[in-house]
Amino acid sequence: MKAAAQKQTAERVGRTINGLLLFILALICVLPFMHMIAKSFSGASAVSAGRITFWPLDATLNTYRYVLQDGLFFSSFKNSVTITLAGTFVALAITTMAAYPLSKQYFRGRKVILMLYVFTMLFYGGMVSIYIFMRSLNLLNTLLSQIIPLALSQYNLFIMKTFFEGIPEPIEESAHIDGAGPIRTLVSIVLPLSLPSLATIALFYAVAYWNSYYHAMLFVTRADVKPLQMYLYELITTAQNLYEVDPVIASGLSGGGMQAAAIVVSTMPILMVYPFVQKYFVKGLTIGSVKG
Amino acid sequence: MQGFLKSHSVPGKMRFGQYFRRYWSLYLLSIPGLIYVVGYKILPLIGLQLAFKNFDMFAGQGILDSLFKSEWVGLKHFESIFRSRNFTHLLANTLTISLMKLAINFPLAIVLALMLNEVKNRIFARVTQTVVYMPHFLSWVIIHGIFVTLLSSNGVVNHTLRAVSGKTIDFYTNPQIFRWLLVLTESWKETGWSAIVYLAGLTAIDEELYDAAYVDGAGYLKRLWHVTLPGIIPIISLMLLLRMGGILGAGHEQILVMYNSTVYATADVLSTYIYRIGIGKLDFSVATALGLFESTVGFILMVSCNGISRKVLGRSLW
Amino acid sequence: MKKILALLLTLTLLAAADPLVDAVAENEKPVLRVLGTYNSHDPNNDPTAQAIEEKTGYHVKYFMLPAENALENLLMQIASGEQYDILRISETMYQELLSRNALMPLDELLAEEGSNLTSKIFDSAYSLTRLNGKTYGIPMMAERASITDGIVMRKEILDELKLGVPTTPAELKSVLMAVKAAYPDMIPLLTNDEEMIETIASGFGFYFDWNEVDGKLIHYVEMPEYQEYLAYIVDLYNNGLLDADIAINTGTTRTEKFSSDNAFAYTCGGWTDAATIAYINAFPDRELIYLDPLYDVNGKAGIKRQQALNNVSCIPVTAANPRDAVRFMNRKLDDDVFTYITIGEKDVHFTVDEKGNYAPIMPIFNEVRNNAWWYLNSFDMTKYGDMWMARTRRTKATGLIYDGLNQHANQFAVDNPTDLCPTLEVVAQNKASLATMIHDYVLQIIVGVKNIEDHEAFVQEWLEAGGQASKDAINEWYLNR
Repeated sequence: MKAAAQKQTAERVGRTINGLLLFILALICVLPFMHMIAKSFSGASAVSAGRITFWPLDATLNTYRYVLQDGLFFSSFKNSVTITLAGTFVALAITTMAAYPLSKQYFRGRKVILMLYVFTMLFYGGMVSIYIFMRSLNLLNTLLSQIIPLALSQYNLFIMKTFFEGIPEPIEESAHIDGAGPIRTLVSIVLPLSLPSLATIALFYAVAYWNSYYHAMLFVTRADVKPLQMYLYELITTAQNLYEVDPVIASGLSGGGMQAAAIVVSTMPILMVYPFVQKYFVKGLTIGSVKG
Repeated sequence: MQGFLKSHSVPGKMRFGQYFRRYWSLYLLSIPGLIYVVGYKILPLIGLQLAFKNFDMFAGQGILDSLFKSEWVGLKHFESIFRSRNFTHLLANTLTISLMKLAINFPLAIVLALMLNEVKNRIFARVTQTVVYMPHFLSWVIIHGIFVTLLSSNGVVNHTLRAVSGKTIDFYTNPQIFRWLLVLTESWKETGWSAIVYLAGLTAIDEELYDAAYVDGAGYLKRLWHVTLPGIIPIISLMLLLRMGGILGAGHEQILVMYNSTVYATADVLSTYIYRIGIGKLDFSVATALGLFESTVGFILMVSCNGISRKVLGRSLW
Repeated sequence: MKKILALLLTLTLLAAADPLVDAVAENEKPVLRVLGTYNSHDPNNDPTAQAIEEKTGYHVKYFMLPAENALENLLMQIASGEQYDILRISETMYQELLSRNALMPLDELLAEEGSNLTSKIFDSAYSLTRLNGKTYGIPMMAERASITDGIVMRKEILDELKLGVPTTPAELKSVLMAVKAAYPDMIPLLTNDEEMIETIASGFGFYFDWNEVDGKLIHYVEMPEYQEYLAYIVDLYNNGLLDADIAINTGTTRTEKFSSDNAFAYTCGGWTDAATIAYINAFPDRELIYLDPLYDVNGKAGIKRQQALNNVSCIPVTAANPRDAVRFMNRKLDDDVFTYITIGEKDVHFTVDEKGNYAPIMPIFNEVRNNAWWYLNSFDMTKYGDMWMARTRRTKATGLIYDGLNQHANQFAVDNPTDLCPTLEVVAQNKASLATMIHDYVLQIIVGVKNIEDHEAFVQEWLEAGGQASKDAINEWYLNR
């Protein structure tokens, strides 16, 4: 009896320590971001002097006022939203359509097609070739040139395929008996059952689109089609221009504070969305990797 | 029921004509993906011939024509790559950084999952999870932006260090420390996210097994060893194999954003070097040759690891 | 499969054909496409762009290279036949394109359509953009031959610590040491271009990239003086006199540090230097000392007077409207047009006093012509020097910096021996990669990853990577000039 009580105490202590450690880990995850937020709301002199820790000093909204006023920020934000929405939709459609046949063992040609996807996962023609590709289709300086490169991730395709394989055969069979072809089965039976998976993959694509800048760097030379990340990249690496643009306004603000504000504004959309789809992606990821 | 089984579950025995009439829509569904993969991935592979040519951008009318018109040089670029001192050095860096990340970040995710699994308060569990997933959603550009301000010589971290110990750490310019910076920023970004898979595996373990062990008087460590770990070992193995397959990718995007010339000695990896050669020196031929090497080795590794995983564990990526 | 084949066919067809269209009726003005270097404004939405369209009658679509990897992006675009009528690019980019035969010779078009372009821009300027006797680019020189580099120091700290203005490398070090002792948290010297800080290099007896020694030009990396210079810089770093973040600084962080009381001295890179401007704006009551170039052991000092090309406007061989492009650039140089698009209207946007001194009217000047420089292809070389003062004086800070850097120009300015060197193919091909090489090397030396004892090995590497070839080409020109 005494031993059991001791053990229970030990477990309770263990659990408390565990909780504390997790709390610290969680802090480590948010604090750097908190620092950014604090900085974005702080006055120029405090930022420049490096006095900011995790709460704003000489609180101000000027940084946001400036960032949101900048026409280029606004247009690139709009572009990123368009690219992300359209891209996610297209990518999700292609991925679902491609994954469904591959999940069927009886799909003839499955192995060949699968190998094609595996092969292209690792072999790519290089920068010059994809540039030629975009140029040939007259897609330079378009939003489409930023959508195409990410429109199919083989990794997501494989996860999707595994999801579909996990749907019990009999459910689909019953649809077959009713005379439904594969497409109708997919639309009316399989997709409704796969909402968590679809949400997961959609989130993956959305994050990839929202965060990408590499392709824009290759294909975009017009300010009005730049995505947000490219704007940010330029702001972070070469922000000195800020002072040339408007020395009068810029003198009251700090480059660091401005960067922080731009970072906060640009990450907000994703940070606002993901907690709400969390239960889906946790489920989605799980099915994808546990079932084999 | 009998008839249904005959016609539906053994489509493998039909003649193709009959099969196709019934299942043509599967092919229809495959078309968009195939167009994409053939058009955007396979066709541009003609660019790989650069690896065997001396690329002259302005050799022909338009860049595609130049591609074809450039002169063939056989394996010259590969020879010079394999001979150069740089190559072994780059390969060593790539493997070192990759293995460091594997050794640290891989177990870290498992530990985090174990810790999260022990939390009984649902709200605390939910909030903690949400918070540790957060960094995954930030791009490397942004993460770099955040950490460079935190860790520079007048950032918060060094401010504090200076106040406490009088010393500062050159996170970004000390070649040895910089590797750790790469490893640990990746831990920061991905540990929570990677833990999801294990956490799911953990919740799938039968509660009764724990109860039985508990009744037998097994302490936490014993239960961990005899119940928990065996329960998730298949997932761990699968994840490990997948990571091994990608061992040549040491984190291209991350390093490219974060490094600077003072840490080339320890942080320059195959893919970043390819990028610098291709873009900095405009030597697309050497860059393509290196890329081709990287792809080939990566492909072999990936396919074999996937094969092993399927044979041994009965699970695989595809 | 058919679809795939069809796609394949379209791809090849599209990629192969890049027709040259130059058939536009005489009186119909085509839309011109202009590509320029990176700047953080939207070039199609700027008052200057409107002014240009209004005065020339040409509708222009502007494009911008990215901030990073601009050269590589430019080459890809031009090689793939992307159609631009005018490229307004840096000298390095121009030379790279020229060495790859991507540009159109302009002599004929200039003779027929370019009366302003040929009369208002000196022939000496054109000599810089010529290759084998043919002109491929419209040169835009630095507005005035002026000094563009220097070190600024905070006077109030010098005064407070009773320190004199340093005139030699040794004095500079002791001043920085004294500041470090008094203000341990302050960065004594914040630098921008550590591979050759001109003010300090003067203290070791060299002033340029290519220096004349016994009638021949040699690059500073090969000079024994450069090793001394490097050793000196390393010593400064090791004593904590340079910024510890030297390798990861960006324009923003430097500006941040200098304009917020965190640095004592700073290497100012010209009258538009962001950090210096920000500092002056932040502390209008303080005074900056502009250091004269340091004296070397022989009691000599000097600093480069920048006379080189600022940028070049050229026409790629694939351009659709080369004739209109020249006409357009020529029209922009008509006196009234030029004044209007560069500094606006007299007494509305700028003023001229009886002595002929130009000054901007603020803030309207900045609102309408702040980015005007981005649109200029070139200028009237006899007149613009004075007009340009309105631009340097568009803020108090830019004017102060310009005057400060040039305060003792008569005494110290030295002309660069390679100022008038035309485009040389080998030099052009290697310029960018050699510069990166030196930049990377110097940073590695400074932070101690590489050792100065290995300098010979680096020089060897540099020579093999194209340094020797460049050296030979430059000397061949120098001896026969």
